Order: sequence, then C-alpha cells, then structure tokens
Amino acid sequence: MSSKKTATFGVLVALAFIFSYVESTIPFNFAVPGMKLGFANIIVLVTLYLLGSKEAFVISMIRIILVGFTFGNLNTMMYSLAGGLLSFAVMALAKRFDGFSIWGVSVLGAIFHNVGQVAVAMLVLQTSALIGYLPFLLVFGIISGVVIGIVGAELTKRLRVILKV
Amino acid sequence: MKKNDIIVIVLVAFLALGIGGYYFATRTESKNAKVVIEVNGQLYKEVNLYEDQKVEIETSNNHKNVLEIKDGYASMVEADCSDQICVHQRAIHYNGETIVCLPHLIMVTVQSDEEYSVDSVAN
Repeated sequence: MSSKKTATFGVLVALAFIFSYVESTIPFNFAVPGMKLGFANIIVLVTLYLLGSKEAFVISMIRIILVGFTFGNLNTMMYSLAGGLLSFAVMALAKRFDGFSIWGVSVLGAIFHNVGQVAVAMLVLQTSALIGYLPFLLVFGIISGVVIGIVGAELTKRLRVILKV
Repeated sequence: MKKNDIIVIVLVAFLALGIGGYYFATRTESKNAKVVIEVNGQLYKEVNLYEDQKVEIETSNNHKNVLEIKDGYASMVEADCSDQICVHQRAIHYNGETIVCLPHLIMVTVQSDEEYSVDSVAN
C-alpha cells in the first residue's frame, strides 16, 4: 500500500467517524425507530466511487467498529453492522450493474440500511409487527438517499481533482 | 440522474404507499383492547387499554421503563436507556400497533380481545 493510499484511507476513516459523531449530536427522533440521516454513508459512497468497492467495504467496517466502541455498545453495533453490510452489498452491486448513477446507488444504500436494521430488530424481538414501520423507513430512505447522493456526487467530483485518483 | 434511478425511486415509493395503505385500511380498534407488555420475549403484564394508568416495567437487569395509558392510547413516557427512541415513538391505539425498546428488549403491543370472545361463543 502506497503512503498516499494510507493517508487517503486515514482521512476518509476520520471523516466517516466525525460524520457519525455529528449525526449522533443531532436530536433526530421521528416516530419511527431506525431512521437515520446517514451522514457517514456519504464517505462510504464517495470511497466506492473514488477508490473501489474493497476500499469502501474496509472504510465502512472500520467506521462501524470505531463508532460502536466510542458512542455505542455491542448491541447498537450489531444493528449498525447489519445495516452497514446490507447497504454496502447493495450499493456495490448497484454500482457494478452500471445502470444507476450515484443518486440511485445512494438511495438503494439508504433504503437497505434501514431494512437491514429493522430485519435484525425483528429477529431479536421475534416479531413481524415491526413491518409496519417499513413504509416510513422506505420513504425516508428515498429522501435521505437523494440528499446524500447529491452531496456525494459533488464531493466525488472535487475530491477526484484534489486526490488525483 | 439515470432512468433506472427514477424507476427505483418510483417503485420504492409505490411499495411504501402500498404497505402503508394496506396497514391504514385494515387497521382496527376494539372496545376491549388490551396492552400486552413483553420483556425478552416473555409475557410481562397485560393491562386494559381503556384504564388510565402508569405501568412500571422493570427488566431483569435493573432497567426501568414507564408506560402511560391514557384515553385509550399507550405511550412510553420514561426509559433509562441512552437512545430514548421508544419515548419518542407515537402513542399506540389500533390493534397490532407496537412500541419497542430495543436496548431493554421490551415490546408493547395493542391486541384486541376479540379472539377470546369468539372462543367463548364457540364454547
């Protein structure tokens, strides 16, 4: 791994970490559990487009583990992990499929992040009642996904010039 | 933005509308509904949805939540957890609606008593 790549990785992990922190300081509680703004996903998305899926996967996992130990616990980490893994897998596939722009990839990532978290909650609580939350999570996933897609597209464009990757 | 992006957004929006609409159209309320409180998958307590009261829920690992039942609506008013998501969830009233507290594995569900009345008629 070149020193430039190491430095880029460090900056991206730090950014994802800070975005998670900023998100945790915003009191954002709608009636539905599992709703997230998903700031940190901006970094995963940008990494996916700038460096590739392997790199994005590493950033996503490091972020979840760091944030889990710093601001959460093993319990919250399990939910983040489920959401993060599912969202990453879907985004990587959608990007490879090549039919989507960064917007669509971002929307799919946001939606599946929410779906993954609700799925784990349903497994933990052994109930299907939580499916009632899905409509809210889907609609919210579209909105946050589009916003993050716009930010991600702008960032990718600019970072590509700065980092020369 | 590509065509597929729009297609995904529209499809998901319809899916959400469909599930949401189905829930809204099929939701029912019953005069003798009960509030079922489960902790860690085990039945903790059942109370009448129309008897105003505050129920303290104490879990085995010394955590406490307070459920308030008022005018046929149940809502979590207190929880000593860090995320407070359950406290912010809206009050439940219709059959099948739930409030969950994930950190404490508490699940509160509104259930109708109708199944029982059908059974008693059959008996």
